[in-house]
Amino acid sequence: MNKKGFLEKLKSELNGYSPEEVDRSIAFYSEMIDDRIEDGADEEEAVASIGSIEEIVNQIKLELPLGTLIREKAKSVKEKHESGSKESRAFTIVLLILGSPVWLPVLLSVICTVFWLYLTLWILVLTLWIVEATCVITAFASVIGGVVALFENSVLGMLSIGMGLICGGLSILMFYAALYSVKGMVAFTKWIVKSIKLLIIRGKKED
Amino acid sequence: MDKQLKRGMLDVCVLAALIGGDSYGYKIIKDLQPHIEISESTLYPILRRLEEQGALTVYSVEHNGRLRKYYKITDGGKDKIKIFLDEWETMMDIFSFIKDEMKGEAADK
Repeated sequence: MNKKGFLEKLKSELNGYSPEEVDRSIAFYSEMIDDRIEDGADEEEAVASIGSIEEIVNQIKLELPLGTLIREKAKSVKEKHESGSKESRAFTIVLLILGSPVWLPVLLSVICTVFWLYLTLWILVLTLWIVEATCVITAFASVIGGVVALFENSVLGMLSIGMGLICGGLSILMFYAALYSVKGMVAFTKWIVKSIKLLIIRGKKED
Repeated sequence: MDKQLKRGMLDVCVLAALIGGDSYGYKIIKDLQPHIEISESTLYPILRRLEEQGALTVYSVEHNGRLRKYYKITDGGKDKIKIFLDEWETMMDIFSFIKDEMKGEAADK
């Protein structure tokens, strides 16, 4: 490399430093090369003995106070991060708006479906309680009716009492089934609420 | 040699090279090279630092149709050398103590 090429490369490597700083180091290294040539070295030799440009730039950087270096580094990282997230945020918003005719109905139908499934489960629980109530009423009615009927028609009365007792037994079973179904639904509802909360917290963390 | 130590040494070496008279970059390197390893890329920041500290002043002289920068040591620069020598006086005392102790150990064996 000749002197001109060397100094031009050094200048471009020092890009970002103050013009004063650049001129100063160019003048210094230019003088150094000239003095070596004057001392008998040819141009290429003189440039080679100065050392690598990387080393020169590193030495200049080393002289900067540590605080300045860290501040500059932090600034560049922050700027990079801010510009990056701003762009990605804008991009996300554009995608959301452009995609809204597709995702909005889909999201609404998913929410409706989930809501209706949840409601259906509660209707099932309600049905269990209705069956339970029916069983209890039937049990009492059959036993009382059976006892009354016993005097007129013993066979029919016995049948009615028997049916009432079966219904009574069933109603005890049904009572526990209905009770546990309510407990189950309450637990299920709590789980759903917790899941939604977790989803929001994690989403915020990722943001 | 320890990097920090060498850095401090080089500063004083450059100042010492100016005691005999004002000098320029290439001459400083040539004068110091027999005693301590120094290159253009290390000399440049040292000269800048010493100038900022007021240990030397810079002036330009025309030479063969170009400007050459000459460096002149100031009183502040001379004080720096004196401080260095005083510090090393103490260092040398410690050094000879350590050396004598090692000699004593060698004699005991």
